[in-house]
Amino acid sequence: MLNIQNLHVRVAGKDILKGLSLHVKAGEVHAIMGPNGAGKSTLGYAIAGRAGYEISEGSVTFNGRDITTMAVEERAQAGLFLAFQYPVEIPGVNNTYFLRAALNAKRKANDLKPLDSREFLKLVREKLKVLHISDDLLSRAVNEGFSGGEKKRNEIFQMAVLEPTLAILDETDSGLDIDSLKIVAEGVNRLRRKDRAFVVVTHYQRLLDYIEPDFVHVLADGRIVQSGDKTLAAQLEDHGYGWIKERQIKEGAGA
Amino acid sequence: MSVGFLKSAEQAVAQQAAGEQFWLESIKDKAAADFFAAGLPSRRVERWKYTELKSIAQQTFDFSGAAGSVEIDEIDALLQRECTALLVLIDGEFDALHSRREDLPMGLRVLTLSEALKLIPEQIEPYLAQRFAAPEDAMASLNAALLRGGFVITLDADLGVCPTIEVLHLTSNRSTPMAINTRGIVLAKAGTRARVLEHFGHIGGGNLLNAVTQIDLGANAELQYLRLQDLCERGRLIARVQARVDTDAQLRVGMLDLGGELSRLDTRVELRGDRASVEINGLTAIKGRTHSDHQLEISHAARDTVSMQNFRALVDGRARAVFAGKVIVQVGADGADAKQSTRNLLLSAHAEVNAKPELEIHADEVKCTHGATVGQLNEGAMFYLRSRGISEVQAREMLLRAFVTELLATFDGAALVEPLAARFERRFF
Repeated sequence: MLNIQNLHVRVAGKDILKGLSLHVKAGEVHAIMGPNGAGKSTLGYAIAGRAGYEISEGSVTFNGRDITTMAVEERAQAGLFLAFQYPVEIPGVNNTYFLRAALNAKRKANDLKPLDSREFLKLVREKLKVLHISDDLLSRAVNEGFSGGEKKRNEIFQMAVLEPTLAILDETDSGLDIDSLKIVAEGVNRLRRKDRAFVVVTHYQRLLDYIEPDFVHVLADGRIVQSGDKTLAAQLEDHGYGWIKERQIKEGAGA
Repeated sequence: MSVGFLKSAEQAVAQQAAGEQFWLESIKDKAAADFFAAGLPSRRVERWKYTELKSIAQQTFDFSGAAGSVEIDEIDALLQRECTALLVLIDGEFDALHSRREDLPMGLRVLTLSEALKLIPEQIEPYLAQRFAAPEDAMASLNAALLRGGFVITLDADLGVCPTIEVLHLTSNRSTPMAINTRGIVLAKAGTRARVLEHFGHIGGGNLLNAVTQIDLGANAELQYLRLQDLCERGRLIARVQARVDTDAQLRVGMLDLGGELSRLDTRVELRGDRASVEINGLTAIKGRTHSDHQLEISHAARDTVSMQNFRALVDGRARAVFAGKVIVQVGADGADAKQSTRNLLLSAHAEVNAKPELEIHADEVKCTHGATVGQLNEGAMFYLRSRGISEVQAREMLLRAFVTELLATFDGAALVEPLAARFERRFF
């Protein structure tokens, strides 16, 4: 589904990703862990197509299509979703209006007829019920004045409505208390399907107690330096990121 | 051959028919002398630094021709259904066909200027007699010197209701553009409440409307004054709002400027009684070659007075928006509270914004804050919307609409937000 080969990304003239490769198949959940500054958020932004995240080398294909030349909205319409670490507050834009515009843009791009407001509201109410999200979120401006937990829940809610084929969750656990974390994780788990994949980017193992990954990768200094199953996350939790660094040095010395 | 603005003004003054009340003639003479002593304001005058009147100076105008007619299927009034009275002025003169002012509540008068000159001359004389001798105020002197028409709204004490009055200014198309001087006077006596909407609609055809509006609030009065400047592409408006607010009275102003060729407004507010307050929310949304210039001066002249200015501008194309807001806290106006903020969005490389906040404080224990920002659309918000599949064009429109509706929502009277937002849509997108 997602194929990243030797990806190099520059931000403000600085190399952040330096040869990252990642292969994600449908139905899989990949966790990407790493210390601060490793390039975790850069990976999400680069895949989503944010301006200023310049791909200097390598390739990114999504369902066989090279997405690096596609506009941000085209990638989203093709089924990509990025849950932001810091969801943006947009005063004056109603959450429901925004989400309907997004869904209909996606439907239009996929030759589906747009939903009218009644159909849309019906869909939204179903999703809300499943996710245990209160519907006062709907009448407010996008993320404006939302608590940290509400913002993250709103991201998951958007994901539920837009039904992406690949969702990248950028530190969705940051700033969440344990109850919010459980709600968010439960929301994600409910969306797991055999034709949908997740890339869960996180600093801590905690989130992975609730969202069980098939693969765990460690990102350090712009590269994936270690991959394994979910036990790798537990090892990281026990030993810290320093452990990976030491192992790298040892391996480097041995070679 | 063009004789130019000043020459045609001179001829118009010379040709003015005698036979008016003696006091009015004397006011006009003095005002004419003030105007010709100063001439058209030049950019050397600080308040006119950004607005060039050269092209107006070179043109010949018709100051006194008979009022024409405007062909309109349906009168484009904003508050058509809601308003207590609607006064339509075409080329400054009363249009009986479209105006509506029957069954007014007791204590409310909605008059044309000429009616007021006959019925209540003693009430309006002090306002007409106000001198504007400073060179920067020359256009207001010209307004008095060649006064053509206008409106007078009076609210007496104990009205008991809050009426809404809309005044709609239109001009007709002519071969020689007209320069029309109109005067509006709003007198809200102690304890009264009202909402007045002054709407500059079809101002086009190279015409110049020079409109002065004087507002006087008695103690405890509450007035919401709304202004919509929605000129045609070739319309020009030079306007002044002069307001006085007495003890415990509240003036709330909402302005929407959608431009034209030239849209210039001087707003002067004097808070002359203790605890008097003024709140001004303004939005300028312009593109093309529009030039919009808002000059404000708020004078705190009594204790514990409050002023708030909140301005936003959206500037696209080759348009230029000027916002200069000055707050003066006079000697003895202790406890004054003044806030001023201006947020400007530049949407094209050729658009221009000049924002200048200014404070002058001569009293103690005052609270004054000001902030000005000029920037582009928030990149983070654009990316967020687009990352959900919304196209760049639609995302941009959503953010612009949000910027606009947030400001419009500060206007009292929810009924107005929608029609004003609709006008913005029509003009801007």
